[in-house]
Amino acid sequence: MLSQNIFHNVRLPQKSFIAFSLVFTMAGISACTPSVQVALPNEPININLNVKIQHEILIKIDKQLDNMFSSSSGLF
Amino acid sequence: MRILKPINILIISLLLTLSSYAWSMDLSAAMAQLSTVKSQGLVGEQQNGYLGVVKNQNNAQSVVQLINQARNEQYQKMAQTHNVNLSEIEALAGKKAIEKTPSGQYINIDGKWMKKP
Repeated sequence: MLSQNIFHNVRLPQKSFIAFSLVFTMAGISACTPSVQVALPNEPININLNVKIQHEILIKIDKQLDNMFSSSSGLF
Repeated sequence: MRILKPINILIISLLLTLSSYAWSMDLSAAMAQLSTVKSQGLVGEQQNGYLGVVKNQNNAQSVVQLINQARNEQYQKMAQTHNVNLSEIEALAGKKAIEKTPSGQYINIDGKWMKKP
């Protein structure tokens, strides 16, 4: 109710009002996007890769140790 | 000098045979004896990935030394090929060795020898 009254008093034409609101939303969007893009991508992906590689190495070492500690190796 | 040469060779070969007697055992002999000294309760597995002497009888000490040396070489190879610390490999090996020890044989947990239940 209040906002309607204000607009009636000022008699702002509808087209310019739409244009204004468009400009504001565009400004809002363009102000928001860069911060979103910068924040996310690099670090978590790197950590995941490291974990995966280490895990694969651990499996390989585990297999080699299994061979080493089998009765046929002579060392166990 | 010409006369000394064969004598030198004789001396060297004598020393070599003597030194092999002093060793009294090589790796393959140690491997052959390992399971018996284990089942006799003279040798057991430790958390560091190496064998330990429980009772020093029947060449237990030299078996442990030779096998541990061979194990160490294997661990070092693994550490180099996978670019991992030797201590990590040793710890993993110790865990596995203790796991695989059959019940009744000796394991060393936190510095104490005990028969694996």
